[in-house]
Amino acid sequence: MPAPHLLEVAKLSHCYDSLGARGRRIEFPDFTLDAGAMLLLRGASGSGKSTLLQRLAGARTSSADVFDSTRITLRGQNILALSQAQRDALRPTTIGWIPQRVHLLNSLNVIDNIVLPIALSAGSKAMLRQRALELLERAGLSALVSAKSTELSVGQAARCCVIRALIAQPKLLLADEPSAALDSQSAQAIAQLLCDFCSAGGGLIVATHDEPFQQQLRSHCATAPADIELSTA
Amino acid sequence: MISKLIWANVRDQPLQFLLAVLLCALGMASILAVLGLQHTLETHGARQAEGIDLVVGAKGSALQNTLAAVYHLDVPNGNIRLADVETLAKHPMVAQAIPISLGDSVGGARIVGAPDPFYALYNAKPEQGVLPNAPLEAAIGAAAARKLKLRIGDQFFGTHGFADSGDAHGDHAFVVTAILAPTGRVIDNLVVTPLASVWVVHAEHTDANAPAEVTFALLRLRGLAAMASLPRFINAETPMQATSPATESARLLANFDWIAVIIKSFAAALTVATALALLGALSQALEHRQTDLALLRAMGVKRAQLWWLLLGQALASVLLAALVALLLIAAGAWWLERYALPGVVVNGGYLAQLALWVTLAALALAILSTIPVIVRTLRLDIAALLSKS
Repeated sequence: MPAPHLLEVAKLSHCYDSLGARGRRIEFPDFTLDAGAMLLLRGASGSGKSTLLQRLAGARTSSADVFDSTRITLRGQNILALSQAQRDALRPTTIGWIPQRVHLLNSLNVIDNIVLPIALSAGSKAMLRQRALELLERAGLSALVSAKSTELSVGQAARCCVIRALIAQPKLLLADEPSAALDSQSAQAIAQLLCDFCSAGGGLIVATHDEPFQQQLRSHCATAPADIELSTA
Repeated sequence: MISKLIWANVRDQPLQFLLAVLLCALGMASILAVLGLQHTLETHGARQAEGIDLVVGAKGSALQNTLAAVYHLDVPNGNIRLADVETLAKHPMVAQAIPISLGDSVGGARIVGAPDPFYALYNAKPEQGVLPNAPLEAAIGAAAARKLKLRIGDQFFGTHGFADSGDAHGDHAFVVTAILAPTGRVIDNLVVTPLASVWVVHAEHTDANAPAEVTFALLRLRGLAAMASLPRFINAETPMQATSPATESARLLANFDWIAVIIKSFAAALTVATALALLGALSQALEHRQTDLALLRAMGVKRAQLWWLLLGQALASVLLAALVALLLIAAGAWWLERYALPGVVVNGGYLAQLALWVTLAALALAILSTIPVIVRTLRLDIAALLSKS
C-alpha cells in the first residue's frame, strides 16, 4: 500500500464573497505534495496564489466549499471539516505559514519574535533559543539576535519571518512571495533556508512569480520542484 | 511569554499606556474622593455629638443652640444661669452636666470655658504640657495650635465674639499650658480654659452681684425615658431650652438629602466614564495593533491566550491606575486633614475598603471591556491583513 501523501487538494475553488453573487470564483487544480517535496505556485498577480496558500493554511474559508467533494487533506485529515479553532491549532507546528506581508512585532527583539509562536504554546525555552540561534546564523543574521525588529532592513526582516515559520519544524511550509522586494543576496539566503527545510523532510509550497528566485530554488534543492501555473481566467 | 509580550507592548507605546492609566486613575480617584468625602463629613458630623444627649441653652432657635454648642459653628441664643445648670445636674435623670461658656475667640478659634469633664467628653489628653487649672490658662486643640502656631508658655489675647475683627481683651493674656493630642472631634479646633477665665475676662462688663452665667450645659442622660421626658420638663419648667443634637442634626441633614443623591449620581457617572475610558483605550490599542494580533492568530495563538494578552494589558492598566488613585487619595486625605478641614479625621480603613471595591469593580469593567475587543480580534480578516504590502 503506497504511503499517503502529505497533502492532497481536490476540487478546491474560492469565491470572493465580498462581491456577492457577482463575486469572482477561482478553480484550483487538484494536486498532491509528499514529504520532502517542493511545489512552485506560479501565475500572474490576481491568479489566486496567495488565496490558495491562505486556504491551505486554514486562514481563509469560502462559501464555495462543497464538503462532500472538496478536500484539503493534510496527513490524512480533511482540514475543511475542522472548526476555525482546530484549523488555527494546526499552525505553527503542523503548518508553517509565511504570509506575503513581512511583519514582525515591533515591541519584541529579533530572537523573541522568532521563538514567539512556540513559546506561546509549549516547548523547552532553552532548546528553542538554541535552534533559533542556529537558524539565525545560517541566515546570516547572528549579529542581530538582540536587535529590535524596527532596526532591521526589509531583507533581514523577511529572513526573520522565514525563520519564525521554521522554528516550530512544521510538516508543511507555505511561503507567499518570500522574495518580494528583496535583494538577490537576501533572496538566496531565503532560498537556502527553504531548501534545507525540504531536505529535512518537510513539504514546501512556494508562491512566486520571481523567476530568478525560482531558479535559485531549483539550483539549491536536491529534488526538482513541481510546478503549478495558476491562470487569471 | 504572555507577560513578556504585555510588558513589551507597554514599553512600545508608553504614552498611550500612561494616558490610559491616568484616565482610569482619575476616574477611580474621583469616585473614591466623592464617596470618601461624603462618608468622612457624615462621620465627622455624627462624632461631634457623641456623648451629648441634650444641649441646654437659652431659649431661642434649637438648631442654633445645637450648631453653637456641638459643632461650634453658630452664635448662641444667649446665656443661662450656672445655678440652674447645677440644679439640673442633680436631677435623677441626668448622668452628667458639663457647663460651657462661649463668647470669645483667638485667630478664629473659639475660646471655650469648661471644667475638666469637658476634656473627658472628647477623650482629649495633653500631647504637651498639663491641663489648665487656673484662670487664664489655656489648652489648645491640635488643629488650632497648628493654625495659631502656639506653643507651651506662649501668651495670647482673646477677642470678643467669634470673628477676628472683634475687640481684643488686651488686659487679660492667656497662657498656653497644654497642646491637646488630635481627637478628630471639634475640640481639635478649640481653645479650652477653665470657666472662671471667661468670668475674669468679662468681669468689667458685668455686674459683680449678678449670678454667674454660662452659655450651655452639655447633658448625658440616664436611659431612654429621660430622653423622652426631660426635654419637655426643661422647656416647660425652666427658663432654659433643651435640644437633642441627634434630632436637630437629622432634621438639618434631611433638607440636604438631594446633595447625597447628586453625589452618588456623580460617582455613578464617573464609573461609566472610567469604563468608557478603558474600552476606548483597549479599542485604540486594537486599532493600532490589529496587524500584530492578526500575526499572532496566524501563528496559531489560542483564543484564550489572545484574551489574556488583551486582558493582561487592561488589568495591568487598572492595577497601576488603582495604585495611582490610592496615592492621589492619600495625598488628598492628608491635605484635607492638615489644611482644608483641620480636625476632620479621614477614616483610612473605610477608604481602603472603598478602594478595594472600586478596584474590583474596575477590574470587572476591564474584563467586560475586553469582550467586544476580543470578539473584534477573533473576527479580524488575518488573510487580508497579512496580505497587504
